[in-house]
Amino acid sequence: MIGVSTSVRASMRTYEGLRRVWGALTLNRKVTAGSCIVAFFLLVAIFGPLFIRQDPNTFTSAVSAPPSAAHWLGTTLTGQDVFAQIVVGTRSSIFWGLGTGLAVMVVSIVVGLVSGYFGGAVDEVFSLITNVFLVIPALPLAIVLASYFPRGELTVALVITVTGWAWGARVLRAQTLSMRNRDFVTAARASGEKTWRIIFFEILPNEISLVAANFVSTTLNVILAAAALEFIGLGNNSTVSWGTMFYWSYNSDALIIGLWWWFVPPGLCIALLGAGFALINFGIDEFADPRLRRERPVIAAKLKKAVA
Amino acid sequence: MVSNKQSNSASTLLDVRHLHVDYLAANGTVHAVTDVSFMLGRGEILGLAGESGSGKSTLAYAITRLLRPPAMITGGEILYYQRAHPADAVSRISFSRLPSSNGTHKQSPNQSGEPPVAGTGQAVDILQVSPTQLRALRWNDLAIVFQSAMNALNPVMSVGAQIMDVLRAHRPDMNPDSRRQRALDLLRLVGIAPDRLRSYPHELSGGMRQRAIIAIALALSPEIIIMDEPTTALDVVVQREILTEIVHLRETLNFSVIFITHDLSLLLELADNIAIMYAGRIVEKAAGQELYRRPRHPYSYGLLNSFPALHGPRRKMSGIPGSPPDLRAVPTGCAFHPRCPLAFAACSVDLPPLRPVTTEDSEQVVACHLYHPASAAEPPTIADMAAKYEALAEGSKV
Amino acid sequence: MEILDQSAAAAMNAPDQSQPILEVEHLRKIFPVRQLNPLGIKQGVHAVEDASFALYPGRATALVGESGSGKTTVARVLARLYEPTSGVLRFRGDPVKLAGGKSLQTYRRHVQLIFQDPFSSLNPVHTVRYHLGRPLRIYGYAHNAAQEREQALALLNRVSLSPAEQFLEKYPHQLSGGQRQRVAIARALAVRPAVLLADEPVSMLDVSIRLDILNLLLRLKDEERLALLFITHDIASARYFAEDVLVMYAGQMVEGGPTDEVIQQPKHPYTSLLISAAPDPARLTADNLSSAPLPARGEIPSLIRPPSGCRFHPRCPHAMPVCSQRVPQRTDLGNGRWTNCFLYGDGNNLGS
Repeated sequence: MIGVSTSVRASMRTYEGLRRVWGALTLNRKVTAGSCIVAFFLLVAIFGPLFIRQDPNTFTSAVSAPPSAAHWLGTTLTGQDVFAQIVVGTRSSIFWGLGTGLAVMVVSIVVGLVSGYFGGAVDEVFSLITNVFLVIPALPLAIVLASYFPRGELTVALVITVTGWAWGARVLRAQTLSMRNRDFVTAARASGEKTWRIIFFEILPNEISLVAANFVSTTLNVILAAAALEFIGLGNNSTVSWGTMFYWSYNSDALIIGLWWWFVPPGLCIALLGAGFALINFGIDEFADPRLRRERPVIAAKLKKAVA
Repeated sequence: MVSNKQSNSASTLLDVRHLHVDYLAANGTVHAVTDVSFMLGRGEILGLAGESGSGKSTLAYAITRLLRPPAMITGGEILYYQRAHPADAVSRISFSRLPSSNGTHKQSPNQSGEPPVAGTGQAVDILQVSPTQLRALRWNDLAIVFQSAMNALNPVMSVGAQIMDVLRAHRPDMNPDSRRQRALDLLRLVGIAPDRLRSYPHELSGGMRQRAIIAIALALSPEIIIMDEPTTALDVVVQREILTEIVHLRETLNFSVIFITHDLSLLLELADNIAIMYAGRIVEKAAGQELYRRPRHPYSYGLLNSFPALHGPRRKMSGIPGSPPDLRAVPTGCAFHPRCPLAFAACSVDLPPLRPVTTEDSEQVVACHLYHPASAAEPPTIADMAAKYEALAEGSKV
Repeated sequence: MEILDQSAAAAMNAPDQSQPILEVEHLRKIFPVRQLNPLGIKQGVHAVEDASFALYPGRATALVGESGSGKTTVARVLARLYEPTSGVLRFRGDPVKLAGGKSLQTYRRHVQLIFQDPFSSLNPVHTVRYHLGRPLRIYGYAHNAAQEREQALALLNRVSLSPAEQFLEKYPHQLSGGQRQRVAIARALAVRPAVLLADEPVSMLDVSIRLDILNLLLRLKDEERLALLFITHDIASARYFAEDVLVMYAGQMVEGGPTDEVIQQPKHPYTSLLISAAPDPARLTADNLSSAPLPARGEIPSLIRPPSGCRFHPRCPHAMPVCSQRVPQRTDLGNGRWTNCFLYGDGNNLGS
């Protein structure tokens, strides 16, 4: 009897959880649009390469060919199929982008929450470190670091993590400072809760919307930064990703020759994906701050009476 | 103060008729104020008592048309009877009433071709006036004191500057010296030392800030001051001082006050008439003393008995079971019936209208089926209500 | 629950002859203030100055004062959310070690705090079940989900939230103010405390439901023989709720004793002021608002530079020169009443 009701309750909780996720996705039109774009790219990243018949790395004889039926986005200087490269590159860019975004978030959360909750000396030390990292220009530091370590996606990921966590940490620290004086935190302390549980189970869940918004903007920056580093040549040039496509097309003077189909697609992809993330971010902002919401026009005639 | 009988229209100042205010939300309309009617006489203190969801604050904002979307006034009129002649104003001390801006009776400029608001005591519907007329009405005739003075005062301006700002906006013909003098007079009137003219709000204590707000409200000698929980955030002693101040000022300047609060015990000492609101409607209106001695509506009785007595015998009291309704799901019929120990069949079906209780005084009204003139049963006495409430409390666990 | 020590060695006048369960002696709390000049005189907020009182099992004590009186600080020190600057805290006669860790955990099992604002004392992202379950787990009353659920349901029934199953999975925003406060009380009861400190538990609730919550606390006090400290600014509800009352002003305790006696015959001038200022509809005179002028005006002093000696002396109509020179000590007036006022003596002699 108890078993049945437990499983019923569990499935109801899942249903409730899914409903809330759906509710979050359809929050407003911006979020929906952004989510659709990001979802599209995710699908391409996961399933795309399964449908590609041509190997992106194979040299073919159809060199520098413009888009055609055989090669939907044309070929590169060495006859590689650009469309195949885009699809396969999506996987690399998205996964490394999301993964690095996640890593950055984890570091920001830990540093921000710990320094915000404890205050005092801990806060002073962490804030100092955060401020240092905020002040140092991220991209030049990333370039310097990446050129020291062995080339590869992992290096790019680590370097971006190291240079990108500071902003999120700052924001979360501020929020935590105001949260820690709330009654429910004091009540948790008075109930005997351990400190780490208070930080991660009482305070952090209340900052999820901030974390989510931060994650979205961080991932956007990560993708751009990764593309930038790869473009300079600090990534792994033998793998296929949007950034490396830029690298190779630049090195082959694609712009001068006129092989626009080589660098425009990756650029568009980055721009679209970035727009998707930005839209989600705007949508979250709009929801969080009621003043940014636009009231749907209601019974305009009666409005005159109420408004000053 | 003898309670005013408003049957004499010459002494009526404000006549609210069938006011409706709704909040339009994505998931439905909330009726914050439904069919509220009352009259306010000159020099009267009317108390509006209610708990959360009663609509009392919304009502205050509606009267001054300070509501913003999604709140909307969806029906009713608010008739304001202006003074016919400045000589109507009773002024027992030398504190002068500020004359209106064009030197004549308080007459709004007839600019937009609307019917002239003649200074003959004619009524004007506040809900219908143009923005220009509204601006002229505001603060000149109608002032409002908000709940927390800390938020109503501009933190970067001194209190003197804020008073003078009001004067500058509404009395362009006043010169700076007379403005300053007026500000000093006002501060002295409310009991703030004149050397505080240049003090910033954060330099004043809570009680003084509230007094400063009252001074600003009085700056243009308004006819009506609406006070929305003016003393809730203050200590008991300061609260007592402010209330005494208000009564004293009322005697001197003869303005009317609509005093909104959840603290009924305050109103019993302060107000001439009290209207009790529940779920957006007025359920009882009576003179203060009368309400205390003989509450008629079961909610009024319950509310009165939610305040433990300071003196007299100590006995167990139990308030009212349940909690105030969510305005999105108001019970059918009489909104109070789920909590009412005297409810019967009709209460969940029909909405009781506000009816006079006695034939002599048409101002004592109550909205309760127990007082239906056609019903055969005797209306309940205090003892009946006490017994029923106690029975309910015994029956349910606390 | 331990069996109470019923021996006749009563510390204070306690009709049921019990030992006090929680005592505080000469409590002082000063909050440091940020210094602009590090070499200048150290400033602080003198929130509590020399507070001494005791709480007894099965008795409710009210701590009455206005804002800035230090009553909330006293409660938080008793709950050990702040450490006292000086003074002694005693639990069951033994001085409380002011260290953290295990002893703090044990102390918290015995002394629980209920907050003023039911809207912010519950975490909005957690269900009622989580709120009740955590203390049960932390203190080892429940070891698995089933026990947690069972005990949580029992707690909800104790605070009359029924049907209890419905409330378990609710979030705070789905509950009314009164229901939230009941959940807060249930959470405090989960650890089976001996002392319950209620910091203005009903001030933010609707008027008609306040008495319900107060009656609930009284019932729990009787059933569990809890020692209750009821902090409030409303002296009428203090009279309704508590057997004893303590009056505080600007961090100093000024009067104490059986509630009804203190209210009907206040001794300290501040207590008289408080009582005359409280709304009392029964006292209606012919002109509605009692026109007798208040015995004193003025406002609560700053606690950073408090007045010397008795902090009420700037406002007191009976102030004497000695009032600004020295702090009056506690004078016993017999029958459990005491006051700190030079009008009645200085120290422990029975005054006039």
